[in-house]
Amino acid sequence: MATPPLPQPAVAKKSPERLIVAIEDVNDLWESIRGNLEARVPFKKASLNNKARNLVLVDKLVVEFVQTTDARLRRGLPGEQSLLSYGFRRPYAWLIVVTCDDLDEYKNLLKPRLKTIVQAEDHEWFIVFVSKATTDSAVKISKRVYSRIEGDFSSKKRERCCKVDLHGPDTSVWEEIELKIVECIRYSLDRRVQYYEEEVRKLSENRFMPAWNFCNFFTVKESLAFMFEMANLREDALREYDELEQIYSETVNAPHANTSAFGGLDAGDDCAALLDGTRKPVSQFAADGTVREFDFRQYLFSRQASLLFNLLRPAEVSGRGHSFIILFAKILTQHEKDLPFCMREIWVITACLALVKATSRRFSAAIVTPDTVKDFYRLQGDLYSYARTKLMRLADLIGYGHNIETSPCNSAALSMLPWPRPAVWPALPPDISRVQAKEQISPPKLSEGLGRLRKQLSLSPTVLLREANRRRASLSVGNLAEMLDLSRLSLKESPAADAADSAPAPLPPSTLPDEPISGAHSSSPEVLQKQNSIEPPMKLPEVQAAAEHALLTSISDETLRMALSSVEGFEDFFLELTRAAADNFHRSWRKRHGVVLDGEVAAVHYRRGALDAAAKLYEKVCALYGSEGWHALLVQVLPRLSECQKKLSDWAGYLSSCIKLLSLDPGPISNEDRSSIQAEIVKLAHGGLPVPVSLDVSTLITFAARGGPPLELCEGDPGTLMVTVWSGFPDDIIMDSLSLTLVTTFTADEGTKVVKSVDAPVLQPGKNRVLMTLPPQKPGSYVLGVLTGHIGQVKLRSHTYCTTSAASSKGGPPDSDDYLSNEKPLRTVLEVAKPRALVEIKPAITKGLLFGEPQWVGLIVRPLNYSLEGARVHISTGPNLQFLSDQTALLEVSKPLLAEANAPSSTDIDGMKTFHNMLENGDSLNTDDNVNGILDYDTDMPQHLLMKDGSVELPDWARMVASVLWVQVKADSDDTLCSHFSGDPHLSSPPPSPKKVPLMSPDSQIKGLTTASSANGPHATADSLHESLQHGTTGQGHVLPNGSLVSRFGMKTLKVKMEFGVSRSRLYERTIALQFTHPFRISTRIVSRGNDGRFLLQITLNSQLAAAVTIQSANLLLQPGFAHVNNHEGHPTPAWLLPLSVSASSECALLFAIRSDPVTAKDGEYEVDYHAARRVNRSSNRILAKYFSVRQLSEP
Amino acid sequence: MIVCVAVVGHNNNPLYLQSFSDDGNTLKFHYIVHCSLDVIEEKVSNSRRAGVNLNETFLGLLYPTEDFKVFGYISNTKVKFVMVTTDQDSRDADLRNFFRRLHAAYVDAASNPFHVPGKRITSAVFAEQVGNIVKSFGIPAPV
Repeated sequence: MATPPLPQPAVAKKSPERLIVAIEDVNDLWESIRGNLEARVPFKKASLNNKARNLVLVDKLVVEFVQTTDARLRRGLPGEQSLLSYGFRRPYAWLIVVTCDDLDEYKNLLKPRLKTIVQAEDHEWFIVFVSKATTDSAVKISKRVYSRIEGDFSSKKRERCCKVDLHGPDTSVWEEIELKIVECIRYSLDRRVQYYEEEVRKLSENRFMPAWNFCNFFTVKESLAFMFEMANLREDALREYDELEQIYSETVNAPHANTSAFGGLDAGDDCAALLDGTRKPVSQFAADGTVREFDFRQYLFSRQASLLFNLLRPAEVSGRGHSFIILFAKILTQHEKDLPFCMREIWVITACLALVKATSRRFSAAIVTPDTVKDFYRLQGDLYSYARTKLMRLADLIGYGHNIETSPCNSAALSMLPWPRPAVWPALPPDISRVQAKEQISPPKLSEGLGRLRKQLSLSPTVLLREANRRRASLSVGNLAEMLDLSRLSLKESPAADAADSAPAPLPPSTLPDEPISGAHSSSPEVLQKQNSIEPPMKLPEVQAAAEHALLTSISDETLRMALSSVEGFEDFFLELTRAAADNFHRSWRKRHGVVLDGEVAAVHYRRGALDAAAKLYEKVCALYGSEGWHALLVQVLPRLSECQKKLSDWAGYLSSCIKLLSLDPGPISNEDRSSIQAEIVKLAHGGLPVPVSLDVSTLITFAARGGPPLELCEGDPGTLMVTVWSGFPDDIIMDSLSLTLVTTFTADEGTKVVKSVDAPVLQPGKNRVLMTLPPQKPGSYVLGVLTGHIGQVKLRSHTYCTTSAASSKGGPPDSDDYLSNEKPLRTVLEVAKPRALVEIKPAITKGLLFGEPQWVGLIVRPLNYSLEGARVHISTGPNLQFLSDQTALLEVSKPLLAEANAPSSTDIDGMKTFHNMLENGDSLNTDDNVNGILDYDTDMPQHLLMKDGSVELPDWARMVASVLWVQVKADSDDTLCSHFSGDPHLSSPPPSPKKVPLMSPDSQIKGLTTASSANGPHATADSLHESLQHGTTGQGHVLPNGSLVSRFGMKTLKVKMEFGVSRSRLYERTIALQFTHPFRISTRIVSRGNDGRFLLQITLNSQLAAAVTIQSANLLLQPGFAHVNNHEGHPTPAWLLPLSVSASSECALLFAIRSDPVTAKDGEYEVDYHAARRVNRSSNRILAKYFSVRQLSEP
Repeated sequence: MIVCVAVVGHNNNPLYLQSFSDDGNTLKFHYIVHCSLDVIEEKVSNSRRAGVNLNETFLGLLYPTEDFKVFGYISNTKVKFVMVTTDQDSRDADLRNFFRRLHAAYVDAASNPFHVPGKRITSAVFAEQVGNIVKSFGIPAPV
């Protein structure tokens, strides 16, 4: 390609440049069309080929029109080097502006000249014919000339001419010219790209040749990149730089790489230039033939960044920049020995800040995806925190370390970050006052109070002193150890191993205090050896002062220098970086990063006394750590928060923090500390709190009900509930009171009830059992709610109700983790039943009791699934019923099964069965032998109970079982009834004809009695049983269904009152009807009547007894006017009838011969009376009629 | 050198954290692991959104810092395994193998009936296993 070289521009290449379109102004017409053309720049729709030969539409293609007479196109001499360097700058299109209004002139003058021009160089050209014609003839001529030009210079393949009519109306021609220009540019670009690529390929192939020079390659490659950039093909340009960077890295890292100077020693190099490509004249690389890595890498990055910025991709700059800074920091580490002191740290800080500043200025969240936004802020945060780390390292180095919080975050950042290892440690400054100032810095005071829980973490990787001294003198191990005593840092590594570690490169600082550090490596070992012997080791303040001096004199970045020149300046800068990092992390949704850095901000606030701000931020940090259970980290922050709260008199917060401290894993806090925290809480609670404080201690105190089924209570009953409470307090804690809410599960109204513990409990560490008093509750199911304990002014609340878990079964406190308790089913601890009958008292026997005899009445006391513990039965009697209020009652177990087997009816089974037992065991009660022989049942002894004032207490054994209480009563004959009978008109009249006495069946007995009585009302039941036989028979018990008493048939009432339940708060009352009866029902009939006034009176005795009786004697007392025949003194006739045995429920009759006795007759009335003496056969006074009927039937 | 191995539960609560660094400063690893959860969450949500690598448990490099690197791994039950190393170059296969073995050890520990899910792993056997895995890191497993 025989291209004439372009002149070298005066100024070193500066991007971005424009594509040049050369104007060959043949006829001085350029000025007339210039305005029209330049107005179209930048070209809107230019289609160019990219590197992959694909047509892409480039908008805003900027071109510059330069006349060929311009100095820029005319200067310089040809040369291969300049062709490669500057060839891409040559014009991409030549515009030949001509006019001609005469054919001959064209043929003779213009055409040869044009030929010369277009053939002179191998370039893309085209002719613009400008017509100035105004008249028709002139237009015609110019048309003719133009057609000739077209014929001469255009080909079928390519139009190379166009015509501009200066005075014509048509403006579309400018568009045509623009297209033509773009076409030329496209052709030129394609050819040049091809040419450069060929060059690049050639150079790449020879890359491993010894004579290969990277600079040449770089020149060509960058030219290509520039060309693309000029053509607005920035993607391609970027790709070129990426390839360039890659090849550069390969070249540098090649095993036999030509190690040239690294660079970085110029003034101002410590300030990163990664976005400033113009700081160093990179074109000098080519001239010098060497590439300094330090400058070159930054230059490459700055070019990439600028292309990316132009591509509107600032987020990518951040990403690439972050990686680049890390990579570059590593490279700086490799060359640390050759670089100025702390160059790496300073460079990183400035680089991060420059990058952040440049990218955030160009970044707009509106035009990118949310993910990119997040990523961008994340990178900003990373950059800020990276700069922050390095700043802390510098600060620590110069003695501001006390101002750095020893948090895990800072420790993580710093403790693995090595100290600077320069070839030579900087020398002591001449100004001794600095050293003294450093000496005066006191080590940080150990925090008082809870602050002591915070661990002092190391911020330094190794000992600074050793590092510093090793690099200035060879010290003996002994000296080293001596010196280390001064250090605030602990020595972990073995000094001996360390001393042998690397060859020191010492420098006598005292002799050369102001010598530039970079000159150190020139010192000869012999000289050093000599000087070492007199060189004392530096002490820590000296080390710090030396570092400070070195840094402050070397740092070129003003901000950083200000920051390091005073503690306040450092803190301000540190705070700024930390805040910025935290903000960016929050924006990138990295909440943990952000919140932790918030904690670091808080630490600065705390140190500066802005406790309110500090507390707010610490709260966030604590919440973060606490919510995810990072207790080890929490314990580093929580004490600080509590200190803030204490100083702010935020007692609630302070106590809450104390509680949180106590509820942490026991590991990080010693037992003594825990005890003292507890003591602090108790002390505050009992005084010193202005207002009562309520604390949530759910994490510390948990509680649970006892396992098993819920406690069941009846409505209205008080009770006690056993609750297990796990205390996480380290020592016993004395509560003033402890209460618990019970929450109903089913009723929506008034959900909670508060119950209190029986006594003020002392909670021991671990498991406690607390008895809660339950007042009478409404019916429903209850679960445990909130446990509240009071200590002085402090109310401790625990919401953690736990079921059993593996942890608690091992004796530890149960799980209190939220996520484990989420799905816990609510377990009912208390069931309060709806109101219901709790006890039932029924009489065992209600009827068939004999008048006038002491009778045993059985009361069946049946608890209905309810404890009758301590119950008391009080009995009082109705009218005409005698009851001995102080007597010995009997109590025995009711045995329904036995009774059922022996009773035809299920009524009163209990009573009957009990009765059997009574019989069996009742020898002392004159039980007949026969009965004993027959009844062979359980032999439980009935218990004798002493009744006082009609009251008797049930013993314990009777609290759950049905029992029968036997008491003795005695019914008086009903006087009114008696007198009524006496005056019965039926008796005075002739006796009615005998009626059949109904048979007494067990069911119809009452009825029968009623009928009989009404029919034979006057029979002499009243007062008839005069004999004093103790053992009368009894009737069958019976209770009327409606409970009404039929008093006229001997109904008596017994009032039973029972007090039971807890503290006898419940009352059961019942009136029991007892039916008393006489042993016989008597009816009379005149059997026959004689004419002489004699008659035979039949007295039918209908036995009401359930046992057979023998009537020993009977006599009939007569009223005046009647007399016994034969004067038998009222004995029946015949006399041998007696003694007469009467079976149960049978009837017998006695005959009496009577005559009228006018002598004795007074009012025509008579009175029949009889006196029956009987002896009860095989019976006791308590035998049931029914029983006997059964027994006798079964008797052989 | 591996300086820290941690197991984090699905609620981001620490289950196990062992430092293998000799400076006795475990807390800084607590911090590193805790903060790496941010990155893990980011990676998981990103891959879910992209719909790729859903079956990939190895999360790769979480932290590219100058001094140490943090690698992550997440199980199907959202238990995270985090490893901090000071090695600058670790082979991907070694890392994957390491995490696979760590995962297996965790599964063994979690299968212990006396282990309460969601609680710290206190098993000495697990600690020993982790120690062995860490020791053998980078050494090709015997065939």
